[in-house]
Amino acid sequence: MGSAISLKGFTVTYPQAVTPALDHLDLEISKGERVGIIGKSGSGKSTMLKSLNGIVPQIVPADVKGEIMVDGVNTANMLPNELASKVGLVFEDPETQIVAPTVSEDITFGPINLGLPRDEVLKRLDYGLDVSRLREAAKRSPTMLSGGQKQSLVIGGILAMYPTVLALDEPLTGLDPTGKERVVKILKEYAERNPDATVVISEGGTNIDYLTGLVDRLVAIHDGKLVHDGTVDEVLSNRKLFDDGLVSPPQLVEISNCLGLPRIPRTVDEALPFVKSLALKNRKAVKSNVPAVALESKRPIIQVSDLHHVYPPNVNALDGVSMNIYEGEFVALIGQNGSGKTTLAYHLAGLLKPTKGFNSKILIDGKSIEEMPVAELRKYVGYVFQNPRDQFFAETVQEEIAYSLVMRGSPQEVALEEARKFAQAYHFDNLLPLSVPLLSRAEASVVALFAIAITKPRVLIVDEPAGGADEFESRRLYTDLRNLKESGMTIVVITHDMKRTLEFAERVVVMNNGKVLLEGDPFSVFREKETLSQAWIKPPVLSELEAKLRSETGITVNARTATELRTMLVGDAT
Amino acid sequence: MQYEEKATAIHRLNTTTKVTIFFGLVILASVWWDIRFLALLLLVEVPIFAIGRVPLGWLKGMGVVFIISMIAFVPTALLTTNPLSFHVLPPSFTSTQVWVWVSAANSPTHSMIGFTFGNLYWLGALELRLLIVLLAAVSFVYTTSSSDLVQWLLRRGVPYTIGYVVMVVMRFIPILIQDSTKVIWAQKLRGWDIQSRNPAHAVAQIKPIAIPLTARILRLIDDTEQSAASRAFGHSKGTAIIIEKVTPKDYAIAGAAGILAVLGIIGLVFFNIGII
Repeated sequence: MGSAISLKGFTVTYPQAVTPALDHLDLEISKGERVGIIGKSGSGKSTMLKSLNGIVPQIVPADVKGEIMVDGVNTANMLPNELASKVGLVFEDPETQIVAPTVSEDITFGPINLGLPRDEVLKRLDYGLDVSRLREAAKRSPTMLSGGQKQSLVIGGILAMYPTVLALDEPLTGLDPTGKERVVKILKEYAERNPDATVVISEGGTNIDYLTGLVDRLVAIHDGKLVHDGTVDEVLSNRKLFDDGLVSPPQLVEISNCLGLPRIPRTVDEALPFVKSLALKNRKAVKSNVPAVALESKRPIIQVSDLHHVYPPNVNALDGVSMNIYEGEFVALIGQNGSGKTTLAYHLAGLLKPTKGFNSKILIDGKSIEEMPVAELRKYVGYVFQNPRDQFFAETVQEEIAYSLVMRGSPQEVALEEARKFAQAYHFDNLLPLSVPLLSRAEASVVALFAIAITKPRVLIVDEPAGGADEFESRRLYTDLRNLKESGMTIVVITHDMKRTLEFAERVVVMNNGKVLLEGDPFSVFREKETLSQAWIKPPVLSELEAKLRSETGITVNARTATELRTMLVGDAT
Repeated sequence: MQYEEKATAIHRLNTTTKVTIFFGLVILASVWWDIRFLALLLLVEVPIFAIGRVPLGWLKGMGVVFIISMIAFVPTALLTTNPLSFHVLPPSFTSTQVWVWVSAANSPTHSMIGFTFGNLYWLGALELRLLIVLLAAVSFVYTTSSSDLVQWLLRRGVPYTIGYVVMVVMRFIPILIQDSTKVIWAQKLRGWDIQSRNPAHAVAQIKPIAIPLTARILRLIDDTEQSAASRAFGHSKGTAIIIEKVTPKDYAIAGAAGILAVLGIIGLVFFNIGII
């Protein structure tokens, strides 16, 4: 097999950057190979993929040294549109890559741009619909698709250009578990049908388990340098990569490393025999973490009854939702895209009003939200939007954090001092002098969270707190949320991250089709696999493992993390 | 506000027919000032809006445009009190005063402001023209796929780049409207509000909205450029893939719309029809 991609001493430095994004990278990928590029946020994965089709440096300016060849062509000297039929690049966020008003029109966009004859364009449309599994949605607007379907559409549109190399930049990030499975299935089918196709997928690390069976080689990069290159087993067995924080570990790797399993399992079924033998060996010593959420002893701070919301023309976003949020709890609101989570959260923050004609009611601390003055409502409920940059305008982080206090009447100097004290208390004072536009995505999420939290609302609603963050950044953000909860705040998170839900939430509310499908502690909710499947939700790996262990041995191990699992099964000994 | 795939009679019309109706209405609404004739255009438009099943919620957005337009139009109307500004309407009608203020006879700039039948008629015509144009635009956007429009332009030799810009604008305007709402919500939740009547302060208070929104637009432009390039945009002149189907109904409707528009302009030029 000849070389599909060849990088020799490839170095990319963005203007005004102190260090290169890619630093003397040497990499050979043969035709027909399926390779995963793994690394943390900022490791250089996206830069590498965008260099493959010339976006870097032709559109995103950068100083490029060394050589980058794709299918024998030096891509650094070619325009991306000339390379599009050679390298198909799928971006992380499908929203940015969809341009047309219907699915089929979006698939034909690339072939039309290539100037192919009409019959060929229609043939490619047929292929794109087939490969993306969207034939039935061909006439639909992409806005009506789920996250997984949108990513499938982009993949279909890219593959309709018949690229030699398919490159995907974190295609699973931001998708719910079902969306991830859908995308992986599509990619696996494509790879099986096209044995000569070269596929390169970047991944932060936590979704590596989804890629097993698709990629046969993993390349880990860190700070723009190659740190490991080997088979999936070799890389996953390299504990140093995970222990040193160079790559986010998937949960099965965490479990395996924590329990000292002889080899890294690829699936829950592979891990089960080892975990089972440990549990049976220590049956008497196994201590389960029994969740104790005695709701009757808690005071509801938000009471929702029969809440309806209909978006025009006739979309039932909320269809009679009744639920409570209890003071001081950490609640996760989960459900697939379009299930009604965000609409419900907007109602809780007073941003939307119930649709007329129903008997909808929302009480905040016993008072009707409709009769509550805006200023009073803000004391009760704070809301952190999903895209942190949608609210930033100040020059420094300290000014950004202080803004909410200034708007509540504090003099500027007092507010800045308050911001400093608050940042010290929550250990982000290192960010205060930084320029807001230069913050990384994870730093921006921290700033957005505390810019609202500083007003100390009784309830803090956070929409996808760690969207796009890697394992380390995500844990940091959720730990910040837990710290805020411990200070007395009630936390409501809207999330697709089942692993963090299990780890941090005290209670889970599952939404589906505008209704509450399930409510309860995370252990009991994630046991309802069949019910969850109605909402297209897949429990996290740890819950699946626990469920199988319980059904085979009768032993219940309610662990939130791999470390807790180890403590329960084998005690604190490492 | 974006196209939705539906099987209504308006959606099914040929793009040429829809373009002819749209431009016919917009051209006549742009040249006519007589409320009676403008009302006729509205009578044509309302069924199009209804048959095309354009969501009524879109009218809310139009309400905002009306309020903003009033801010600009009313002061102009107040100053247009001279009955000689009207060529066709009788002076006895246009000079009838509803409420006026006349400056002192010896003032250096002797003037009269206020409402007369004439300027109220003019104001009504202006708002009606705006309504007709907006209704035509939303009906067109809702019933015509941007790809169909791009293909239509492509077949008529219009450069593909122009068609693409149309498509991207139609795709991203709803996204930007949503994003703007979120930015405003995000800042309102932090306590932001325009409270000051002092224009300088009000402008300063726009900063928390303007900066994130500008940043969002710039990000969207960057993303769109990269996305288009990754999908070979600019590689060729594009391919026209839609074969236009013109039914007898299309011929009849487009023909009628075209003839009426031409007759309207002839009437205006030679018989003062539509002029006030």
